[in-house]
Amino acid sequence: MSGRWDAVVVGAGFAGSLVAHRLGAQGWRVLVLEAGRTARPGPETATAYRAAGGGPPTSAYPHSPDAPSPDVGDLTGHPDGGFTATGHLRQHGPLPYASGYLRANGGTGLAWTGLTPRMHPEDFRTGDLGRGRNWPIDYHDLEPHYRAAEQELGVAADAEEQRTAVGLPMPEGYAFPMRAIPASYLDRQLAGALDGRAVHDPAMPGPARLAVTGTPHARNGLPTRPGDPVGPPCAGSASCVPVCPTGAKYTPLRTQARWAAGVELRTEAVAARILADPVTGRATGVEYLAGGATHRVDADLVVLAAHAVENARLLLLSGLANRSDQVGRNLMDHPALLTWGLMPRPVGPYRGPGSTSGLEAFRFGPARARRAPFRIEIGNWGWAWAGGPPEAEAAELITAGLRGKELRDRLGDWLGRQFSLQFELEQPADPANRVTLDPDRRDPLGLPLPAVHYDLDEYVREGMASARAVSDQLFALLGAEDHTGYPAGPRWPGRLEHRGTAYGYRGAGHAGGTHIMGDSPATSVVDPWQRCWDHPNLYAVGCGSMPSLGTSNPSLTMAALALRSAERMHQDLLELRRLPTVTVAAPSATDRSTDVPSPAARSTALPETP
Amino acid sequence: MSATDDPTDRTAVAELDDAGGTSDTGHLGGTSDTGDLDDTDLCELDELADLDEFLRVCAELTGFDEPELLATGMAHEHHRTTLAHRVRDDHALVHLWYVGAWPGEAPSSARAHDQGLVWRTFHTDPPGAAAPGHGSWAEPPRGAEPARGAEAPRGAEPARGSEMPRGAEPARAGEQW
Repeated sequence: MSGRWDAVVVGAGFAGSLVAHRLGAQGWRVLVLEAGRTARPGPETATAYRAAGGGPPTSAYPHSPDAPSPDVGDLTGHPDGGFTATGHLRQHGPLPYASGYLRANGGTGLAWTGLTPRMHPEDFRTGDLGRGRNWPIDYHDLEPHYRAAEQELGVAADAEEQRTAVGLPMPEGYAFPMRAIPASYLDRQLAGALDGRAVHDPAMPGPARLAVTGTPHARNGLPTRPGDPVGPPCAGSASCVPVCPTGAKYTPLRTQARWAAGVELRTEAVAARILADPVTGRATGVEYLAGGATHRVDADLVVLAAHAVENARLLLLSGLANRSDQVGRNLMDHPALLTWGLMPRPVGPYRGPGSTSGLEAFRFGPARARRAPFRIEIGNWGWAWAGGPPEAEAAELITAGLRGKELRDRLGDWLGRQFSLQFELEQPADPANRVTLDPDRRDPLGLPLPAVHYDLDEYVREGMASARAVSDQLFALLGAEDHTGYPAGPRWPGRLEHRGTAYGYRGAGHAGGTHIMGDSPATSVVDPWQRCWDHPNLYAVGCGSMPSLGTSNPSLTMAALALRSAERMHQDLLELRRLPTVTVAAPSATDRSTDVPSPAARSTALPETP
Repeated sequence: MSATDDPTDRTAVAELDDAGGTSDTGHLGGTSDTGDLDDTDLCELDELADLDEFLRVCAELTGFDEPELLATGMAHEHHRTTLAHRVRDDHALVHLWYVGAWPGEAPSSARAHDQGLVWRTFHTDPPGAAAPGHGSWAEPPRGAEPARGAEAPRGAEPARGSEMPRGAEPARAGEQW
């Protein structure tokens, strides 16, 4: 199979689906190669997941044996500390990289939580704090693209609240497409007890003032302009992870449904190598494996959008883009420190989205020079992430011998008052945290598997100490019983001791940094457009480009970056078309240029940003 | 958090779907794996073949009365699941009703999972099983203290304002767009 495309995109997840959409809308012919399979529709996936009695989020989705991916269940803690990792990722430690991802059509964006806070302007300047790196662009460069992403994903939030409570500059009169998702009853209880109160973070010079603040969501709220067609509003199924049964949560499949006819998707097509001209450095195409055979596609532009770990793996497999020796390095995640307990009265957990509000005071300010900043998510789903689902707690009490009314009342009281706090910490870019190719292990297609070296530095550990100190004060203000504990053992593979105290963390699934963006080819992999310095027509998009993760769930920033890059890609393709020497490829049998209007004949105007 | 357990017995249960209330206690005779059953278990086995008796026993064990158990719509399915197992004890029956699955097995159906009594103990539905409506999660749960300023502080502190637009968005279940 051969054929020439304007662009080949590797990966049909968040970034890849958006890039393909924008290029397709400009009339370019785009081939999207997706390693995984297509999932069944949301309602069916939800029913099958429940029929299986739950499981890890990724278990709800089809797994192609030829496109394995890591899962949280691959990690087990040891009774004496330490951990064992099995599966796709070989883990060299010393600590586990504790997040999974999903290789399927739609990517991890099928199972994501759907929270879309923007990064704070300060988050783009972490290097100035002596931690990690600065971005080569700043908040204001990205701001219009944040708005474009919020339009594309359909974000529900209150602009005024985001301005005043979080400190995010937005143009006067800007409105999110949808009104804010209502705060949960739990949020309101916390607001009643915490708003206006202060706690002391040992790393902060003064008290931190508390304000429970709404979180932006890429799930349907009520339209900002009544009558706008925004899809069914979130109906509170409390199942955003792993799947929204009503379709209110954005997934990349929603963008794919809007793809132009010139965009073609091939699933179960596993990219094995990016091809490049050794003299000019220009990428020429992609070699991929499908149906037991090797295929090659040629394109003017190649876009890697396969997840931070898989993008790095592909670049390493191809021996490309690594003049800086930074490919695979600077692996980051949001280590999430969880604390959990019982509120004095029932709060109605397991209703609505997993989190609807947070506490923002620890994300910025001078303390950031001394410890990792963190954002506190208020967890609406009981102890599901921290401990286990209610079924597990019921099983425990039943095994302990409880029966009848006593069992019913004990469980009702216990479960009905559960809540958790999730402290998502920034982890600075560190070249020693890295993805490499495992010399010993290969996947079923014979491709070397990724391996990871991962640790959390003193700065993150100090952030954990602050987070726990803040948590203790929050629990006291709430009159809540604290049930937090991180015993060494199977449930806490991510566990460390810092200054004599044990901390456990989970991975938030926010892999980044592995093809880091910068202002110099000597020290970074991609330029400010996410274009590989060494290969002018090879883009690597996604969270892997991010020089810092800040404390925001990164999908919205990834989307904003992808949309911004899509504008540059469009310009690159237009410039190529203006150069007669480049358009030498003879039309092949599969060339479909007659099917769509010639892009070169179209306006050169960039896509509009709202 | 294993998602899948041995599905063998699920198949067995499915095959019994048309068996109605027939007992399979005949399996007991001569099998070697009943050695751990004491007299009480054997006595219950005979009683449990009758649906009414099954419900009476289960009501006592679960703390949910017979009308509550019947209201789950799971009485027949759980009865069949129970009869499909040779070794039954208090623990397994309570587990079946609370979790929707025989110990060590996956639920007999998505409905069995959805109707697990554990969720009823705190008056909610398991994730993905219901769509109670936009903003329903803002309402006080049953058993919560009446408002007690939970919503009021928003109005009482107009200067803070940040949650006003959100607080002002009461749920109207079933609203369509």
